[in-house]
Amino acid sequence: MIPRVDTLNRAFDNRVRLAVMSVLAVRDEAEFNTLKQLLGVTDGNLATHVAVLERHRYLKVRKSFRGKKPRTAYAITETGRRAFAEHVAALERIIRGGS
Amino acid sequence: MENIESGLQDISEIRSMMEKATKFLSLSGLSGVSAGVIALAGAWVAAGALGGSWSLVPPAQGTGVEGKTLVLLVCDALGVLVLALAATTWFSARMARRRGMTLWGPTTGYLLAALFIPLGAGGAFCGALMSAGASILVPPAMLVFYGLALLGAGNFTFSEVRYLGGIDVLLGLTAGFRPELGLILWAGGFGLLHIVYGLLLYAKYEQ
Repeated sequence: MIPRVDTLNRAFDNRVRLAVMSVLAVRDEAEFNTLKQLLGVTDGNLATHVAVLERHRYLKVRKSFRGKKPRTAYAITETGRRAFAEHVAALERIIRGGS
Repeated sequence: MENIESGLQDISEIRSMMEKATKFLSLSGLSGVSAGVIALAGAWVAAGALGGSWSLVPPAQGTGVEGKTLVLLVCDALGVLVLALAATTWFSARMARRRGMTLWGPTTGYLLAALFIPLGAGGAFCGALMSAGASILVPPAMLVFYGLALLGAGNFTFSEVRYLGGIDVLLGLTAGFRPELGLILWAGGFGLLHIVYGLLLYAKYEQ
C-alpha cells in the first residue's frame, strides 16, 4: 500500500491535542489539572484544544463535585480510540514507507 | 523526508506522554541506597538482639523468638520501615523538584496503591505468623510480600524495580525453606540489593 499523507488525522496535527490523546489512551480518565500538569500548558490553551477534541467526539467530559469544588475529568471515547490508533498506524506507515 | 522526521517526533512524543501519564518517574536511586543502609543497620540490631548470631534457630530445636526479644525485633523492623519511607520520600521529593514536578503528581496514587496493598497484607500476615508462634517465618514472608509488591509497582515506576522484586521473592522462598538463613537473606534482600539497585538506577537516570 502506498502511504498517503492524508491518512494522518488533521485533528492530531497539533502537539497539545496529540499529547492529550496519548494520555487518555493509557488512563481511564484524567482531570483538567492533571492534563495541565502533564503537558505543561496554560488553562486557555488546554481548554481550546480539549474543546476541539470534544467536538470530534474523541473524548467525553465528566463533570462532578468533590466537596464543593467542581471537578472536570476527561476520558477517551471508542471513536477517539479508533481515530488515535489509525493515526498512529499512519505515522508508522510514513516512517516505514519513507515517503 | 520532512514527513519522516516529524512522524518520528510525533511517535516519540506519544510514547513519552504515555509513560509520563502512567509512571512515577521521580523515584530516586538514592532512596534505594539509603533504604538499603537503614535495612543493614536494622539487621545488625536484630542480630545483636538475638545474641550476636546471624543464624536463626529453627522452631524444632527451640521455642522460636518470643517475649521481650520479639517485641524488640518488631520495633526494630518498624523503625527500619519508618526511616526507609522517610528517606525514600525525601530523596524522591528532591528529584521531583529538580525535574520541575511535584511529589504528589498524577501517577503517585497508582504507585502507592500498587505498593501498599500487598505490603499491608504482608504486614498483617507477619502478625498472624507471630501469633501462631512461627515468627521464624517472618523474614521470608517480608521478602516474599515486598518482592510481590515491587513486581506490581514496576508497572507504575521504572520497570527495573521488577527485577529487584523477582529476586526478593526468590530470596524469600529460599529463606522459607531454610529459615535459619532468614536474617542473612533478609539483610541481603533489603540491604545489599537495595544499595546495588539504587546505585544502578542513580547511574542510569540521574547522572
